[in-house]
Amino acid sequence: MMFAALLAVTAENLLFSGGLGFSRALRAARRPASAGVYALFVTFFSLCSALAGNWLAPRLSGSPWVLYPAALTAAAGVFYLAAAGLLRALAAGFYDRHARILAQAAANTVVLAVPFVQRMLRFSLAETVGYALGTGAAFFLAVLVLEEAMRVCSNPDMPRAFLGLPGVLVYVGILSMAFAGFFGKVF
Amino acid sequence: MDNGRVFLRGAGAIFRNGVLFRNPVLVGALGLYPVAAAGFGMQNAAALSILFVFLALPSQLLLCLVGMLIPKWARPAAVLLVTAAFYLPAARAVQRLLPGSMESLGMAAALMACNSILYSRAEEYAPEHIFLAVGADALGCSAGFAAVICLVSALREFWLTGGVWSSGTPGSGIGAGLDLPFAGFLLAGLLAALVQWINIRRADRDPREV
Repeated sequence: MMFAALLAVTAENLLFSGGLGFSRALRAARRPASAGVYALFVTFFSLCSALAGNWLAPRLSGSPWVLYPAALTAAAGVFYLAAAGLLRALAAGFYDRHARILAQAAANTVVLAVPFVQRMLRFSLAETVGYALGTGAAFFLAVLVLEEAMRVCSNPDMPRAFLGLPGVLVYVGILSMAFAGFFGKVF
Repeated sequence: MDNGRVFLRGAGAIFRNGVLFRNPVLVGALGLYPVAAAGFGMQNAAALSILFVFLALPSQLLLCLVGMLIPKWARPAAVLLVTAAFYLPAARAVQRLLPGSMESLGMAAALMACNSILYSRAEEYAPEHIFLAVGADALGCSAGFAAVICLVSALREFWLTGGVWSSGTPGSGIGAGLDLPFAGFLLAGLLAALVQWINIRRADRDPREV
């Protein structure tokens, strides 16, 4: 379990080496105060998604493969509905403060990618839980890194064309290159 | 008649914004995953672009019609359910037009159902705008996404195989890692800088244009 969690943060880091979930992480980096809660939601929905993937995979084994991603996306909608409904009923104040990030975490590509990675690496249930926890941690780290990238790339001395997002994308590209080193490929 | 022209001009402006000036990928930082991870071959780019338009147009139009009937807190779930439903015919259409492309794209094609451009336009924009504007926005965003992924893919494929839409095998020397996401991010960053430069030029010339 710990190994799978470590894998999610390093070699199989979906955000930096896979390029997943960046749009959401960039948005989260604009509001770093809620990054912890966002990462918790990502962990929760990753776990739900992985369990849904575990349940769906054998049931859809004979069907056309496009049914699997469609079913996972629909399951993400159901999980969001359940989580939002429960929070609205039990912790309305908390829900009101975090409604937006709850929805974004449920629809995050990094969350829906977990069942695919789980199938690819043939994780056991314990390893799946570890990987989901690791994915939440990786998301949190990515938000911290992107927050710094956004601060650096708002330097007014930079060329105007690279201020903000273009600079951040180049920054992320260089960082992602470092993670690509884990693949051992020559580039 | 004049109202019709104003409507069409407005729709044209929405379309142009989606394609270039407010490109969802290069200005909105949305939908970066398929560009970075799968945008290294023109066949991939074509398949993902077709999948995108077949998902974006019907899901946004449907949410334009029924979005306001759904409570705001439940709309994210509705968007995910609607895109999941439209994913099946969209994937089938791509399979028919480009046989084998969906299987070769794997996870990149599978995750298009929850693409952040589709999600944000269907959840935030579609329910609160008129039908024509939503249609123009869906087509503009589709064209904008297609332009970025095709350009990034063409550059990467040309570097890797020496051609575009080729079935040549990537080299193994220096530059062979250009199919990894970092190259997609770097090229997206350079294209984003180009769009930002165009927008700065427009703002300097006439601030009302931006």
